Amino acid sequence: MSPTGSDAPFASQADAHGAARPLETLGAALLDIAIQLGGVGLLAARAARRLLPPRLDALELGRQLDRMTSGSLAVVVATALFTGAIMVVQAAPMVQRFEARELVGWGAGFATLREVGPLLIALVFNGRVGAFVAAELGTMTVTDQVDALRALAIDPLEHLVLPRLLAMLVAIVALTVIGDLVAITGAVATSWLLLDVDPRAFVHSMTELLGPADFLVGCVKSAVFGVLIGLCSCHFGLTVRGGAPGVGRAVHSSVVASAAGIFVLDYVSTFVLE
Amino acid sequence: MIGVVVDGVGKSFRRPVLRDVRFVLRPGALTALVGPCGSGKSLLLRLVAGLERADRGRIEIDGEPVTGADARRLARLRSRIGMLFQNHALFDFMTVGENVAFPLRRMGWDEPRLTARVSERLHAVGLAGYEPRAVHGLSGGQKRRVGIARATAAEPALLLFDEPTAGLDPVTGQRILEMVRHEQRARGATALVVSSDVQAVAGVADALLVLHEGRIVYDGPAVLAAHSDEPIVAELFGRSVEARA
Repeated sequence: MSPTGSDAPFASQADAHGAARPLETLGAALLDIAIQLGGVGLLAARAARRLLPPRLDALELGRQLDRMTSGSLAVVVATALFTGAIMVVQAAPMVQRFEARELVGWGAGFATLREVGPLLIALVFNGRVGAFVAAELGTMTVTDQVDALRALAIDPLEHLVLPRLLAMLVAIVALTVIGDLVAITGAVATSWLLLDVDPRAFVHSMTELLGPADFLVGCVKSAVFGVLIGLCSCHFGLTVRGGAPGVGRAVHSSVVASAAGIFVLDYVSTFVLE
Repeated sequence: MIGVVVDGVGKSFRRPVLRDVRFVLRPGALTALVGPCGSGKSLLLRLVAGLERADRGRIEIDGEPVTGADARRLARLRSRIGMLFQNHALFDFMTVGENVAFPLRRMGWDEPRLTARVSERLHAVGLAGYEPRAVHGLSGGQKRRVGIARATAAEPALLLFDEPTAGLDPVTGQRILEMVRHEQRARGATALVVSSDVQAVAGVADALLVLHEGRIVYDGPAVLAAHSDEPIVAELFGRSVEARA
């Protein structure tokens, strides 16, 4: 049938609808991002208000801290060790070509302390601890355990959110410091085996050219990442709807949002802390 | 003993669920709230506990407003409420004893008094010696009993029970209802029990409320409810009544 035939109006309506759909999808996605950002922001504001003066469950804080640090230590050590080694392996051809062996310690230390250490450990922490917290709080929400706390006159913010947020903050900084040490150990060993760089020369190059600021920048970054992961996992966990499938969606959203946020904040903090 | 006033309460989730709910809970009485599935019984219970906010209307517990109350006032009101949730809502990272002790520990009870109280509560619900057991190893009926023990541990003046017999066989369900009745009488508490098991709950309740299409269509003595001419009430009791012209 010709475009001027009787079905033309329907075709043009369908076209218009089809053209509008990507816009609708984009609009819905942007609206959802705005809602989630607002939710995370509100949770941050409420948590900050509860910290002045601090009102939180100390017993729960200790329990969470133990679980987050001891439970993540092995995976952080393994990741950091190989990351340090990989950095040297990747840099080896250029180091050999330009005979820059005396800069290996500085290069590996700089990259580890300022960037790779905090970033990779935050991503590992997000996948392990952030996902676990989102799943745990999500399950508590859909099984009415969060409402049971409220019914027992216990504020979920004080009992669930603040202990997890603070535990994440402390745990991620501690794990980053450990991870930095392990990554540098991996880099020292690899540069010795692969490039014949003496470990003492490696450490000398690192300590000569790097200062405490390089270490502190990494710690500040990892603290910021820890707060972000804590806020995202608690927000998505406590706003779960739709039973068990909802918990799965919350974990997914939490991990994705935190990972994206880590890169954005890394970019911003790199500029700010330079 | 405390009373509860619910006056003109409405709540919508895209469509109206509660339209104009009005009733008064008599202090020291056990009132059953029944109605067809999806009529908003559990929602109404959550509104009374302050776990949801009403779109309109007024809810008062012992003269204190629940609607519009700030977090601190709500927390103070809730410290006088014991609530049993439909799916138990026991803390699965705690043992049975820790679950029952949880509200008491938060209230600052000393350890010897707390231990004695937990033991007494678990004995009262037929679970003496269950303190160290994990929650996930319990049957549905046992979880319900632990929930009752936790809800009554701090001797609340208002008991709110959501479907205490859901998912239980008739014998266990009847035992649980008798336990609820015993706990309410023993402490002279005011109780509101939501149930889909109309005949069983009417057998233990003093008063009955029937919720239908967002309104209370029967509010009276439980013993007379079975003879009501209201079609939905008759239907709930298994009688057929011709619709009034």
